[in-house]
Amino acid sequence: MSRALVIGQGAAGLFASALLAEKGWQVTLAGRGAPAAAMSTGCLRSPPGNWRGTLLDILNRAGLHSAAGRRVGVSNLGTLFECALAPDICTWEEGNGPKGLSVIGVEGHPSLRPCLADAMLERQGVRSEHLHLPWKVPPDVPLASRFLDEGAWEVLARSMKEAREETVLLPSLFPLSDLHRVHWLEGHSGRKVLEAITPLGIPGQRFLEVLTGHAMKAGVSMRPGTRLVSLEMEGDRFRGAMLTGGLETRRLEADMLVLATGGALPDGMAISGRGLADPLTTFQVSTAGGPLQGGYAHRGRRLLLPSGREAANVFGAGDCLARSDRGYGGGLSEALNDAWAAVQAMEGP
Amino acid sequence: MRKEVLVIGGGATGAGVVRDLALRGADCVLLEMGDYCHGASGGNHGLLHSGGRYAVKDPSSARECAEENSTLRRIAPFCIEDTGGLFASLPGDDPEFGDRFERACRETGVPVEELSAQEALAEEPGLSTDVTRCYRVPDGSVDPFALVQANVDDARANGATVLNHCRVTGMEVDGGRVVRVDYVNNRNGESGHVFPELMVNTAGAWAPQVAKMAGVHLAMGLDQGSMLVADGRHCRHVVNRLRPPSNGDIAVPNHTSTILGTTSRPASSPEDSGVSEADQGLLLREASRMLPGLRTVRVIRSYGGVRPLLGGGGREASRSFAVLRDEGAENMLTVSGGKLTTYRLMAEKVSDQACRVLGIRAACRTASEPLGPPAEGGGMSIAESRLTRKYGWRSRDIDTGDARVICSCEQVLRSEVVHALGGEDVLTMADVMRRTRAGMGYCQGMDCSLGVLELMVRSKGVDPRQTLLEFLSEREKGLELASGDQLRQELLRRHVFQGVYRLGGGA
Repeated sequence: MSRALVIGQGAAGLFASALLAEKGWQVTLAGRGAPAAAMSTGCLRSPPGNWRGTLLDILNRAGLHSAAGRRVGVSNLGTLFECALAPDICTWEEGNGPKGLSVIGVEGHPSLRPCLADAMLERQGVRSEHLHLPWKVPPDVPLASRFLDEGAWEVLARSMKEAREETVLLPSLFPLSDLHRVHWLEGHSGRKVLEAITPLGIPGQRFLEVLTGHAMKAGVSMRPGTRLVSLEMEGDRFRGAMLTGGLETRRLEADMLVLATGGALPDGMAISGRGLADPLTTFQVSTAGGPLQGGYAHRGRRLLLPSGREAANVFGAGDCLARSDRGYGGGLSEALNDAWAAVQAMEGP
Repeated sequence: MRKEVLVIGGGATGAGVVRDLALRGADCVLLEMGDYCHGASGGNHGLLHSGGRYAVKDPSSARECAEENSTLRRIAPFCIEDTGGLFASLPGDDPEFGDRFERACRETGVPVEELSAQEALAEEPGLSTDVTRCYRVPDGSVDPFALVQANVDDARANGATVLNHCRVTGMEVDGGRVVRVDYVNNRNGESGHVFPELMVNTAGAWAPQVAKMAGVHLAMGLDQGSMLVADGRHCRHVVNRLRPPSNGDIAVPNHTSTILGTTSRPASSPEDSGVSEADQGLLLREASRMLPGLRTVRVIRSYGGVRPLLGGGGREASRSFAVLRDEGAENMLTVSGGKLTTYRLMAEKVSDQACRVLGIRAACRTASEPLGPPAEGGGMSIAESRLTRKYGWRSRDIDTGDARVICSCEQVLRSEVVHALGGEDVLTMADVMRRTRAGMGYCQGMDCSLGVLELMVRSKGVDPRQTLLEFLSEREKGLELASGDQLRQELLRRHVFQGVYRLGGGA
């Protein structure tokens, strides 16, 4: 069986690994740190490619029911958020939005500030109100999901019952394991839950959790907390890599390498001054357009060597690739698209 | 409103003048177009000069600094940190300069003491081991925002009216006198008029523009200086280079950071304060020659100030000051030049003149009346000391029973922001930041801005979108040159604010 090594446990790496494994490759996925996707909103802003059905299938099977098309949600700041593929709990189909919103925050879970979101919504012409939850949580507990015990969910459901509007905007309280709470809350309050689109929180982590679970089911061998130290190249062909997990450093041979190490944000790309550099010192980095646009130079997602030639069996995917159209707040669709395209470009094992 | 004195410009000098005159019983009003410290009073090192820097080339400035240094330590101990200062020379610097420096310090009354290289390294372990000569002087660091706020508070307590965010829009001059001054409140758009007997122009770099409204031409050198905020404190003392004043000579430990500066170039306007990439490189290079630990420092942001200098400006121009009067508008006094360290003296001189004109006999009291308590000693805890350093006497009004932290970079309590928002003149998020430091840390407001905004929406009913946009564009100014880890931080901030919320970056 042919072996593939994928580096990077973000959206691109996980999606590519799963696709490769499904095609019959023996896949090892190594990664470390917090990928950009974990900091994202878990919603795709650019329209998906022909992998749309595949992704929706993965999300729906994990219980995170999602839809593609022109979707709209409300951010935790209270601004409207447009996207192209997102979970149903945080978005609606354009034109089918709620008439008004009641905002409920949870004291100690500061991602959604009810008074602020309410004021923001009103100014965008959305009828809204905010309610205060009579529930205090210890200030030193980081995630609401951990301290919302049975009693707290009941208090929340009772507060929702008092809401004026049919739809209630809530903070992102629902990791994959607590998604059933949405249904429970709706059943006990008679109100519909709308989860605030929240960066740097549960939604991005939840999206990755789904992709991780899927990759594992597909038979990918996962090596979390593992760093790529160096690459072994023979001419323009990748042969093997040194990986370290801290105490132990191991050589791993493979027939193909996918680099999905991320850009400057999660430090996949090294930053030197105001420019970018390849931490592996093996491939060309394009810095045209500044750090946001910069990344590995490539031809059809095959990385370029310093000689200008393409590496025969090294592909890039996601934020580590140079890209001229990259803006702020996007990148998830592009990462998945890269992963899909790179896998399509490979010959089967 | 009819007032004896109108002061235009709420920097250190203006706030000092309105306090001085209020203490002497004059009926005054101050108009400031932005927040206090809008100009050079906010765009500086926060260095309480001993006078050492000017001793050789600008002795009169050095004398003024030496005198005011001890006065300010007495009257405003809360916002001054007695860090002490070192002047250190490095290989390649003129070895004779130290002797001239020492002599000049003695002549101008700047306390000075030579240290051996070994003693210097014991005092300041971060100093380069290459140091050749070193002197100790009583430099210190000062929080200009707290200092100016204390002047404003005391002026108000003595009956003065102080208005920020009010821009002077026009004047009526009749018979060589300014008889009416029009202003507009930038926040609510309301306009007003002042009919002053006497006008004091302390608009700093904007003084020529104010004078022009009164029909008076004023020559003033405008000179830009750049500074960097380095994360963390990298020295105990203010560390100066022992050489004739040049670029990148000074590192000042201030609150949680070290301020590196400065540079000097002609500025085309008071707003021309931008920092170039070359300046940033130069400041880092020069400062890390004195303090090698700065080589790998994280630069949080850069900022600039425009100095209003006597005469033509530049490094050669004196840092001293003058009070000018012109026949074109004989009831206008204009203050030109000067430094933060000498603000009180400048205010005293101009207030003396004002009192002569107004026939007020009372003597100046600002050299003895305290502006705040000491921030150390008396069994004060570290937390109390931190609050006192920022708020002086007003730190008592902060509810320390509420331990919620709103800005984790600068460890600002939520109750500090609530307290700041109680002030009638705190109208923007940047106003909150200058008073509390919330948003000044390495995340530059990514973490705390929504929390501060929520409190502002609750207490002031502001438009959240406009208020946040204004703050973001102000913060973005200093981040154009972000590099290394700060660039990473800035990318994250932009992904969240521009990407998710569609705010800032011209969006």
